[in-house]
Amino acid sequence: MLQSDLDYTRIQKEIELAQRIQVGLLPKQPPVVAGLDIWAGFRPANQIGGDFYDFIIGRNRNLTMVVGDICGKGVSAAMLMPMTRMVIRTAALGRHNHTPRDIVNRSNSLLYEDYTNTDMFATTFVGNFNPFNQTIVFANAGHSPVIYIPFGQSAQLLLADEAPIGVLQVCAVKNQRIQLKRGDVLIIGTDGLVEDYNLGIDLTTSYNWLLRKIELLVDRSARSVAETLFGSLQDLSKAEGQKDDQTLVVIKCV
Amino acid sequence: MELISRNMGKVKILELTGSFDRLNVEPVRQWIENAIASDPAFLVVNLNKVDFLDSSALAILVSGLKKARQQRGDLRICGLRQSVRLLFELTRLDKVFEIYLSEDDAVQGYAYIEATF
Repeated sequence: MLQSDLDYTRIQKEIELAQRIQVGLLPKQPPVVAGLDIWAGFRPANQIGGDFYDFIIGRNRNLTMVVGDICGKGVSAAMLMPMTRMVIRTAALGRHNHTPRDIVNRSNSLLYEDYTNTDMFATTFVGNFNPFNQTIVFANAGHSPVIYIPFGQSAQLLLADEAPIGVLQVCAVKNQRIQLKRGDVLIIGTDGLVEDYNLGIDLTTSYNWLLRKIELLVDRSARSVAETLFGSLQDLSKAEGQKDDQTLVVIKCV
Repeated sequence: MELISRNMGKVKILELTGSFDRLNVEPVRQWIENAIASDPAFLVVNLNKVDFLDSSALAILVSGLKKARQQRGDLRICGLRQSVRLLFELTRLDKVFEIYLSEDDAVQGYAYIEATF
């Protein structure tokens, strides 16, 4: 065997190990929360990537959801994923009842120096669900728009209001609030769900396609919505291959 | 991707053409490093001929912005096409960068430096 083949094989094995670690850091199952049907999935474009999601049950029984996307792809993005995930998780489990805004602010202050030194940033969504009043409070720092489908209505995009973590010394993100009702669906994804430029589809068209697709699926379970969407995206990118990591968290109020 | 570099007085301009993504960020990073070697750096990145830009490219622009501002300079953006502008808006990087319609406007935006530096 040539030395280059041996090197390639060794590198491939290292990447497979890294992939196992990354997958190991993601939640094995979605949490069981009264009033919600939750499903989440992750499909890296390469074997490893910079997308992540997390579910944290706090002492007050509230659920904190995190979806993040480290800029770039592959090894460089994957290297910052565990650190970022842990900083946000630690901030969410802090002593005081932190709101999503507080969690993002705190995480940004802890991560800013490292992200500056590595020329990186992370788009971040943090949401907190209160099962007693069925309210989600969330903060969106540069992350893909949250897709919100109120029961019986059209899908709408809830946009980020501040730049990603790692861009500015202070991330002045705000708390946004949704009162969930039975049948409402909330989808938090990463931008890999709409990145398919090689097929000649621009961002606006991609989002329109995604919203119309989701509107047809809202009667299904959260798992079925996620799996159907992933399947459709896979069909779309068959010719050119998947371009970016894809992460999907589907939350349905039941 | 093509890079064209030029100066207008103290302002250094980089014009990019094509796709600006993780596969070709290195020349842009290098241009920024060279440009900020002189203190302070007044930079304009013209993206009028860029039809695609990904998060790696955004990260390089953010890095250049931070370094330029550390030296009391700036990195400004101009000529965004609709799809590229949408990316800046969705990530809220439109709140971080000064973005101009044209290169002339961006250079004019630095008019104060003649009096200050």
